[in-house]
Amino acid sequence: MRRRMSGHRRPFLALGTIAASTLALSGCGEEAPSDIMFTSVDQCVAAGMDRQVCQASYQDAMRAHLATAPRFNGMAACEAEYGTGQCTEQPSNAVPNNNTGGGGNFFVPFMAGYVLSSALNNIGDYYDYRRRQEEIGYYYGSTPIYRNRSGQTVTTTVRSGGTRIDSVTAPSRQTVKPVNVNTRTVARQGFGGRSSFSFGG
Amino acid sequence: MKRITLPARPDWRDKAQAVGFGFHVMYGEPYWLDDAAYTFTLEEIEKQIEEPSQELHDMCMDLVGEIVGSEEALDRLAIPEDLRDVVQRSWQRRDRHLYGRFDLAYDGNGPAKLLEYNADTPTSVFETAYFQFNWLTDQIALGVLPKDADQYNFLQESLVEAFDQFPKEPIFHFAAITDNEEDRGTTVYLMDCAVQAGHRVELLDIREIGIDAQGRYTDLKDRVIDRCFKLYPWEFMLREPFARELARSGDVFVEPAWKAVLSNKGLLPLLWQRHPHHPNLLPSYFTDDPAASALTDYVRKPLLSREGENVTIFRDGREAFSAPGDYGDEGFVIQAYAPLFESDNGFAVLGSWVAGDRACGLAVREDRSRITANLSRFVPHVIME
Repeated sequence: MRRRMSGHRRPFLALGTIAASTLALSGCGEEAPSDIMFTSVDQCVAAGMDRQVCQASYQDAMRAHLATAPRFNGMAACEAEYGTGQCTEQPSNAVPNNNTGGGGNFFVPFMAGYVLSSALNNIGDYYDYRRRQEEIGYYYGSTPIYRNRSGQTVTTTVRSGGTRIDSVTAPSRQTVKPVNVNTRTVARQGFGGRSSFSFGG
Repeated sequence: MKRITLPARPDWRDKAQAVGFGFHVMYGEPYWLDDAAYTFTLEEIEKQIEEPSQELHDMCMDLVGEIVGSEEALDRLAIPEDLRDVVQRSWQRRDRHLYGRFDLAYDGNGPAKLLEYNADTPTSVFETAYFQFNWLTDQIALGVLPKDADQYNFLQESLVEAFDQFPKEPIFHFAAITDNEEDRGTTVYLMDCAVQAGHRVELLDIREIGIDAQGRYTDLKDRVIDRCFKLYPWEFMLREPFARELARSGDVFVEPAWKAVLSNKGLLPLLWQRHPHHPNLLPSYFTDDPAASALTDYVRKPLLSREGENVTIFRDGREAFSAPGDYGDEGFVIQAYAPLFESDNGFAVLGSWVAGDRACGLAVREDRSRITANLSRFVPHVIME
């Protein structure tokens, strides 16, 4: 039997027509903004986020880290949880609002990065976000993340009551790049100047 | 290859209307012919059209790297100097491409000859992939065509496959001059293929694309555009105000910037240099090449012409036919003349489609003039032994 060239199925139109004039076919509604992890300010900027947001959120994450990082009395105890070479000694006077009362130094894991929402497009959004977080009981805007000894990424949040909540975050999220980030358009009509005729060929 | 006439489908205008195919009449002239067809044998399709098209595409892809790596070649193709990086990096990154259409001269005798590669903004894709195929199945059902009548056409499924290769997370934007009915229809059809591949899509006018302070392209909802099909030629985009942002954000566009070197008539002499006397190529030269003067029957084409504009045919060294237009500033190429299929109804050019990297379908357009232009008619084809 000779080869059949044309497909077995009739072609169909998922949208039903090619006459669309004003189409907004972004699928089933808007996707919720997702949280994204960054290991550095540079990585945050490279992912397309606003530079000021990247910088401010990094500083906030660092403040949160200094204040709320999991603390251990010995290096061994810290490394048991976070892995060899993943902890550092921290002088107690480096910590803001330190009320441990003049004790000796302690040991904390290195901050592996920070988390923020892909919906944050500019510094104004970020300050709003931080204010809302404060209202619901977080002290700081963005959240520091740590890597535990099995390589999982852990976020630690401390509520106003002092309760510490640790949660493991899926490692795959570290690589997620925010898509269709909201921004502010500063100019249009920079393409399409030659609009006199059809451009198809 | 033959041209036949047959009864039109009685309801074809309603069918065109129902799917929004409004440009079956363009500028007051019939564009779609329902009562005629070009017939081919399977052997003609496979050996003279499909295999050569695949080979030509592979040859073109082999050549892109060489062209983008050579300042001399980029000079020849009039790629603006300040944007060569954009073209080169799009190739080094292997930015994914979608589709293209070879225009071939073929009259049923001897090998098909490449006239040009519409690798950037080809149209007639809806007519080929969708309406032509439904014409075939309707005509078989009506008993007008035999049950085993066939068509060289797996364009739609190949487009859906090609779209499937792009990441699905971002919205796939589609930009065209939307007040042109044909361009909008073509673009919306491609959106339909993207939807079938699982993409979220959004249409905007190419003029509505914005930029933000970081030099990223944006849509009307102030969202960053991460992927954008554009039915608008690279040779214009490279010369327009937003071109300066291409260095940062040029990777979002489909077709990618490296297609600028394939959709350029300068490709023809470069192919001929690389593959002299290839059976599917016509002798082609840049105008300053002494070898060009040996041709007496030839066609002079602007590097960047569309719709046949500014094309001149010379017979016995004398100007025989010419088409008006606004192109030619960037220079011309000379290509040996190849006869088109000719009938009482005019001249036929074959459009041979590539989607992804696969030769996958045929469109035949017919014109009263030897220079196929925007008003040429689309005639369906059928394979019959």
